[in-house]
Order: sequence, then structure tokens, then C-alpha cells
Amino acid sequence: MKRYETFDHTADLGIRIFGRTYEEVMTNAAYALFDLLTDLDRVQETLSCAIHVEAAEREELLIRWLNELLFLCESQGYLFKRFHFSHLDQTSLKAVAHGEIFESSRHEFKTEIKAVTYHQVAIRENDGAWEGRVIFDL
Amino acid sequence: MSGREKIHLEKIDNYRWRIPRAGKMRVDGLIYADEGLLGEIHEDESLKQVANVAHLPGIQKYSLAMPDIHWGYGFPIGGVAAFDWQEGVISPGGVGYDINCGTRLLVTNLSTQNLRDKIKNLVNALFQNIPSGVGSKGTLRLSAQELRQVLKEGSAWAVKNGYGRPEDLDCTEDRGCMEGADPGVVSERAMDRGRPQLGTLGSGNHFLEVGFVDEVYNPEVARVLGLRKDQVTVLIHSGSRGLGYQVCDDFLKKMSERVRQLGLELPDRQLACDFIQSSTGQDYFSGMACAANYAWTNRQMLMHWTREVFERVLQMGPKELGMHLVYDICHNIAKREFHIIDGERREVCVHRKGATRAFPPGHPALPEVYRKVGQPVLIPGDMGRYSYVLVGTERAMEETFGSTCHGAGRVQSRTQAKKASKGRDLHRELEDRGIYVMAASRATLVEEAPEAYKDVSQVVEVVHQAGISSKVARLRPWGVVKG
Repeated sequence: MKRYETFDHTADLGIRIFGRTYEEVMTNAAYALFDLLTDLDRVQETLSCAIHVEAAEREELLIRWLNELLFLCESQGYLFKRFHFSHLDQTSLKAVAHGEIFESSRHEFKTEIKAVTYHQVAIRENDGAWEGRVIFDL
Repeated sequence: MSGREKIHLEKIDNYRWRIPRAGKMRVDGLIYADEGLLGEIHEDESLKQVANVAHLPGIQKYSLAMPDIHWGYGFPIGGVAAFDWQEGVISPGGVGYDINCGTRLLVTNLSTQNLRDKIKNLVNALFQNIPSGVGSKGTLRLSAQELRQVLKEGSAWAVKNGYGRPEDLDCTEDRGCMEGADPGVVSERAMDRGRPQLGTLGSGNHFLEVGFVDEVYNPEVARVLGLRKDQVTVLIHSGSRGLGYQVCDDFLKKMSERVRQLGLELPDRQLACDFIQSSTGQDYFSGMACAANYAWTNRQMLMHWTREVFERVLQMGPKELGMHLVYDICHNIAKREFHIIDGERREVCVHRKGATRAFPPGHPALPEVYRKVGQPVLIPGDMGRYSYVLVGTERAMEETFGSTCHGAGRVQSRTQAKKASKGRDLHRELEDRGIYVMAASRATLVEEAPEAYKDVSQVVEVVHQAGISSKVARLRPWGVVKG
């Protein structure tokens, strides 16, 4: 099953995220973020980081989760490739993200993502398949 | 998951189109475009966004869109909306993530013949000395205290610390310092993102461009602005970097909660807002002003290093080079301004998201030197064609809250641009057109290919013909540094 695909937004970039469960969509959304930022084949899992996010509802939780990861990437250079949730419901999550810190000799940023926007954000289930939708501000 | 709605438009004249008020819209939409541009505009969801903005409380006269309008998030890019200062709202989505993204134009005493055999050296040196690219970090190491001073003082902090000249402040919108900045409302996160990035160009559509005056439309005004045909110029486009993005995100979160508390019905989450007079509204205004001041400081520093590189590479002194700042303007901002509405002078909060202020001759906000001709308006195009210098007009004051367009506006998405450039050597193609480009990454170069943008000449023609600004000169790119 495809984890995500990008779609066009004139100035920016959207992603459609797929999963069999809500948890898979949240995982694949995080994966998509870093897959767009850098070449994940070059990222090793040498460290992990605990993340806790809360929001008023599911769509907002998705945005806050991604913005949290983006903040960790930009402020401290974290590149994550694997995610594990110890808790996940509609309004809060506790996760551990695995990866390493950006090193210019081995890693490259492919694009700059300024932020994860709330514009037309969606996350829903259709006949047992889950799909999410997010637009990044580039 | 999203349906594309056809928005009904009524033609007013060749350059003006109305979206009649419908449903819960509080005012009409008003679009500045010609038939040609309108075709492209219909391709995306930007007209629906113009209508969405018209739903917000306290909006005055119209929800406006400039001819470079394209699909944004929440507000369209190229959108202008004014809200009553007492009863209206302020919206971070109406400003954008890159708060005070803007441009500044410098002139020189050089003509193109002085630079012909040195342009490549010059561009290489600019590329090496000015940090650019994704996640680029500056050479500066600021303490938290120093960063707070930057947020409070803006360009004046830069000048005080040796980056530029006092007279630069006269030719910067708001003298490079927005009122009401309070670093106390800026989160630690925003400070963390902003601290290492001060003095960096960034990536995406940000650039530093050496160009020349290729055409003068209004010699008298050009003279006042210090522009003459064949003169070498420098155009800088950058913003508030990670600090601004984080301020926007922080307040979108807070305002989403407030929207729920207030029970406001909004057609899009990204339109989250609060009343200007609420404490969240006031805090956002103060935080946004901090980010605006950071952006002005950033451009002031980028300009200072540009002058240094010119001096070093060309072995000329500052006097001989004459690198004066013509003007610095922002195109992502919300400002407290006074405008005449229904014959009355009213205090409003003008949101310009991908739109430029265009104040007329005689406006008190203008520096003395430009008082007679109007505010310089800088409209960068794509890196292969042109950029324009215009001035603001009385008609802009009457119709658009003193606003005009801000650039070319994208017509291809980044993926489309990538596909279109497959197998092509863009460096070479541009060089064949006499344009030398240094880019931090091939991806940026490809995404920013000239044909990914509307023809800026078409956009400028609309605002000129509609009378909301007036053409002064056209610039041509020559050497470009892309992030």
C-alpha cells in the first residue's frame, strides 16, 4: 500500500496520506514530511525522541504533530524516519520518533517546508481505509 | 476531498470584476484582472478564497484581490482586506507564514558596461558571502537579549550595529520598525528558530538579483527615485525566516481555540482569527510586529553584505559606487492605517497577503524625498524576464486601501515546473538569455523556472491601467542568487 502521494497546489504542496488505520495515517504523514525534506535512505536510526502533542480534535492533532516534527527538525536538526505511538486518540498522542541529527556531509535538504497549514486539512475513514490530507506552505 | 466551485463573476470594466455578495458574505469581492489573467485565475480555488475572506467580521468595503492572485491557504495570495479597528478581526492567515516577506531595491552609479566582464565574479562572490538555501544559518551568534532588541527595533538595530547607514531607514516602509512590537509575546520556539537564521536569504522564491534599468516609462518620477536607463541595480527578496513562520503557527493555534469559544462560523480553518481588540488579537499584532522587524533587519543585513561584496569585487569605494536604497516594502503584513470609508476617516487593520502598499503622493507616511511622486512599489518578476518599479496613486487609496500587486504569481505548481524542466539545462538556457544564476540547489532553480510564473508585465499592466499604481521603470535580471 502506498504510504502517501503529493498533489498540486499552485504555490505550495499537498499530500494525501493513506493507511489501514488512523495510527497508520499519523505514522505515514510523519514519514511523508521527512521523505519530502530529505533522502531517508541516508538517515540512520541512531537516536530517538519522545514527543507529546495535544489538540482539540483529530484534524488539529494531525497538524500539530507535523508542526512539532518540523520544529524539531528546523531548530535541532532532527531527521526522523520511523515512528511509534505509545498512545494515540482523537485529541492527544505520545510517540517516539527514531532517526538522527542532520549532518551536512551526509544529508541534504531537498526542500524547505515553512509550515503545515490548516487549509483544507482532513482525516477520515472510508470502508475500512483511512486517508488524510494536508497542505504544506513551501 | 475538495470540490471546485465555479464562482460567479460580474464584469465592472476591463480590469475590475465583482463577486456579488452571497450567502454569509458580508461584502462583495473585487478582483483586479484582465480577461487573459482571469482564465488562469479560474484554474485554481483562489476566487473561492476571496469570497471566504468576505465572511470575516468587521470587513470593510470589499474583499480585494490583485491580478497576481493565486490559491493560498485561508486568504488567497494577492489578497487585501481591511477590518474595522474596533469591531473587526485580525487573522494570521491573512498575513501568511512569512511575515513581512518583502523586497528592497538598491541603485548604483554603475552602468552595464562597467560590469560586463565582472558580472560572474560578482554573482559568485555574492553567493559565497550571503548565506542562502534551505535551513541556512547565518554567521551571527545572537544572545536572547540581542534578538529581543532586533524584534523591538528592526532596521535601526542593524544600522546601530554597523549594518548600513542611517539614511537607509528613511527609505524603508515604516522606517524598518513597526509600532507595537513586544518580544514578550514571541514564543521560545520562535526565538529558537529565528536566532540562527538572522542574516540569511532563505530558499524557495527568495533571491538576490543584480539587474539593470531596461526601460523608463516616467522619466520625471524615475529621476526622483534615482533611476536611469542602463543603470545597474540590486533587488533583494526575503522575509522573517523561521521566526515569522513560528509566530504565525503559534497564533493560528491560539486563534483556532478562540474561534471555537466565540462560536465563529468560518468557511476554512486557516481563516482562524480573533477580534483586534481582544487580548489574543493584540498579542498577535505585537508578535507579528516583532517578526516584521526581524525581516527588516534581515534585509538590511543582506543589503549591507551586498554593498561590501560590490566594493571588494569591483575595488571601488562606497561613494564611487553610490549604492543607495531606493525603497524597502513588505508584501505580507497587517497594518493599522486610516482610510476614507463612506466619506468618513476610519481606523482599520489592512491585511496584505502577497500585496504591496501603494500610498499616493502627499501621504504623510512617505519620506520627504518621495512626498511629491508617491510611494515606490517594487514588483519582482521571475528570474528570466522583468521586474518593475511603480508608484502609488490616489486611486489606490480610494479603491484598494492603498494597495497593489506584489509579483508575478505562480501559474505552474512546483511539480509541474519540475516535470517541464526534465532533461533541460536551465543554467544554460538562462545564460543564453544573458542571465547568470547561482542556486543553492537544482531543485529550487527548477521550481523557480521563469515559465512557472505569470508574465509579470501582464500583471503590472492591469494595476497600471486600473490606475491603482503607475509604471516608472522596468528592470531586467542579469545575475541571480537563488536560495
